[in-house]
Amino acid sequence: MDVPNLKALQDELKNELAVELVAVFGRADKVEDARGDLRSVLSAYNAGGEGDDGHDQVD
Amino acid sequence: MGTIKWIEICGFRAFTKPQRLDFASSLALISGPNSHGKTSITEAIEFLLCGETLRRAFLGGAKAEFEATLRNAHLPADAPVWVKAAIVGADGAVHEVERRLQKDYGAEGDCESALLVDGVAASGLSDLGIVLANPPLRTPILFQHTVRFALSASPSERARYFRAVLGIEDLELVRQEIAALRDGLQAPADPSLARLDRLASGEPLAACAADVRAAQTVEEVESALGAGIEVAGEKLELDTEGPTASLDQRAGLLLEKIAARSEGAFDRSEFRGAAPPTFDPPALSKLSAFAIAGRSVDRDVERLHRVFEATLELPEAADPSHPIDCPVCETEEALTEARLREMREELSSAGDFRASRAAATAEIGEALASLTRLERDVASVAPAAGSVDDARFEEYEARAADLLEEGKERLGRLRGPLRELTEKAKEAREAAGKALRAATALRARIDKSETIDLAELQTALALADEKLGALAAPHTRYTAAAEPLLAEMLQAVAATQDVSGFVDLAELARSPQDVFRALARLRRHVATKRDLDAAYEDVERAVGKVLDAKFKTMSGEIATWWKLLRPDEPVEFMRVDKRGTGRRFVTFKALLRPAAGLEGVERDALGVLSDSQLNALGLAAFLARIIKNGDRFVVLDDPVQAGDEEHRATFAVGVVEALLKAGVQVIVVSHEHQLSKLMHNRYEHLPMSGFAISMLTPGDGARVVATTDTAEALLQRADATLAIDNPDYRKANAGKLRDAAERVAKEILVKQRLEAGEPASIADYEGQTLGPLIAALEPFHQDSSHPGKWRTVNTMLSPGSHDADPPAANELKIALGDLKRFHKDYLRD
Repeated sequence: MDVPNLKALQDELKNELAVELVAVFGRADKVEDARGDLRSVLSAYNAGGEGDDGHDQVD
Repeated sequence: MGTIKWIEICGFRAFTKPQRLDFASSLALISGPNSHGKTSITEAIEFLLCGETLRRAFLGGAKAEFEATLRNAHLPADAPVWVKAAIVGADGAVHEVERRLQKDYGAEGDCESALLVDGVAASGLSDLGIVLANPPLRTPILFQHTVRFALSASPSERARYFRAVLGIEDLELVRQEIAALRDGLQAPADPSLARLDRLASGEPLAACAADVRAAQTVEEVESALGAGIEVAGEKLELDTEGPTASLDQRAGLLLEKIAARSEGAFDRSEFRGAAPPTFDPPALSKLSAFAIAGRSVDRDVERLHRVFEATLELPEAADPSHPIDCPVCETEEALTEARLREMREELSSAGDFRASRAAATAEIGEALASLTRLERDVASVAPAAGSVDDARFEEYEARAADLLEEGKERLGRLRGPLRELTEKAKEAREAAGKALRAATALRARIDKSETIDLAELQTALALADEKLGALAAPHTRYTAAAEPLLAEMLQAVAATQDVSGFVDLAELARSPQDVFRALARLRRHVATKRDLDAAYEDVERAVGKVLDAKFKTMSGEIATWWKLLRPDEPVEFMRVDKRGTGRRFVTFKALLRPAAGLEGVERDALGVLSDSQLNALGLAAFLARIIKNGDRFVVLDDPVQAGDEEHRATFAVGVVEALLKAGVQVIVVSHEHQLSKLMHNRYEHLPMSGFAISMLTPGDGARVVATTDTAEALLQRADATLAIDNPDYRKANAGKLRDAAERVAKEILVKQRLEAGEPASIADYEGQTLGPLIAALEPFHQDSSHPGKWRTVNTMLSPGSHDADPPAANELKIALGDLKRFHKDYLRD
């Protein structure tokens, strides 16, 4: 996908998750793909560190 | 020389036959009356670049309106439609680019086309250095109807247009998609969490719910739930603390107590039945073997076997040396040693049959046990409420109405699935009973050593199996409808008995692992949501910063073009900015002065500018985008409004010159005769390529003719009518060729002098006829045959007297051929 202002946007970002999401958006070929990729990233983020009994997720 | 050297169009929109436009310099003007195909040229260039038309993508509210609009309506469906161009690539080489229409727009479907670069299929033009922007404004082409639309559209549509013009649509897309991601993040839907929420909503279990939520391990969850059960147990006067009672057992006791208390209000057990039993039809192999063996046995002899067995079991029969009395007929000493031996041999030979009967007896016994269980289990599938009369059911409904809102109606809706389940359960039970009766009858015949036929049992078993299978779906339907309602009933009953939350507590206590997992998922979700909110806020902030920087740059660029378009005007363009604190809307600010040099006030430009000023603003913004994008060419369709005399000159002079100076090839399409005249005069020295577009009839299609007085254009014009062989045309063609010959000679002279470092222009030879011009060419001939050819051309094309015959067609062709040759040899680079 053509994202002319992507670089400028990435330079301004400070949040780690925001950086990852914007990068995923920029790598997609089209908006529909970007939407799916963003959901996948969030699912992985949400499931990150989940053990069998959920112990790892407890704050 | 511009990026686009020529363009050729065939079959596209207003065009039928191929029409070619050669661009001799970086400036071209295509003029013609309205509705004669001007915009078709612009759209053809757009189609060549991106394979679609902006009007459909951007303006098309109803895409069906664009069905079959790219192919000329008067051409057959299989007529070729294409647009070709020679484009100077980033490498400096000239490449032939062609886009062929393969499928026109449908009522909903997009058009399809094939792009070729130098005859090879390509996916885009980026290799040539032509990078398209994001939709909807992908190409460096400005359509006047687009500007007009954008300025009169709704704020959101207008914002979208200007975001595209300013090249910031991608920022909005990123922001929107991440906002959608955040908004779409769903909390985990888990029954345990819902129960916990209810538990937390009131005393006396709110503290228990808080402890469960705070638990860090499964053990802590169990402990918190156990404490809750103690509280509930005290309330219900229930001893839930046995010495070895597990949490699950204590939860079970609690549920039983609640159910017992609630039966008086609504007995849920009458609406609950058992799950349909599983049934494996019993094996019949031994029975089949017995049935076959039995058919070959003599019935009378078989009955005697029992007598033989009984006789041989007598103690006297053990001593064969003395005959014994017959135990049946009491004949003395009738059973001699020989007879007893025969009896033993007979029984021995019938041993197989007896073994078969024993196996069959065992098998039918198993079948009977299985069918007895089946008949019993099937009988418990249908809830008791399915067999009650209407009066009794109305009592249920009345209780449901007391407990739940619309309880009567909801229970009434359950009656259909209940009836269906009851009916199917009855059929299954009857089929099981029939099979049981068939098996019982079979066993009786086996006991009597009678022949057996398995057909009846087999049929009955198949029917039972079928009816049992037919029970599954009604049971599922009923359970799905009944259980949520029954659960609500229990909750409602519990609420009336001040045991609210106890049911939830007991259910949670039965699966503390599930509660712990659900809480872990919830915590993860909360953390993800918090992180995503922070990420979105960061994206929005960053988008704002990029926009601010972009707006600042664009503001300066737009102001430059505005000043070129509107010099010395008291209204000034100030800046483009985001509206308020939002990021989605773009606003243009204007400074209104009462008179030049006086203080002004700031206002939203779109609200205060005149139609003409808004048009200039739209054009200025678009040109700013062209410069910022580094586009190498721009196509401007009707850039000056009709009748806007004041700003025609500012465009033709200030804007066009600035664009050319910036290295941008400019192709202007206009119906404005005055603009055409102005630009022809102003830019003749380039020379500017001029074209007139016209359409005799729609069926003929649009035709393009070069209008500038360059040698090439004049030769092209003469060539167009040379084939017509009648005296009037020959006379006119001779005149055209003479003009062309004079122009060729002048351009050769100017070129030769310029190359020699001498200042020269076409104007130096103003008014000179062909004879003197040919004489002036003498020093520059490249071939010894050229002087003679020039003189022949002069002779053939010189005007005779009024009555003289016009030149013959062949003479005109020879003259044209020689002039083309001179043009090629002396004037082409």
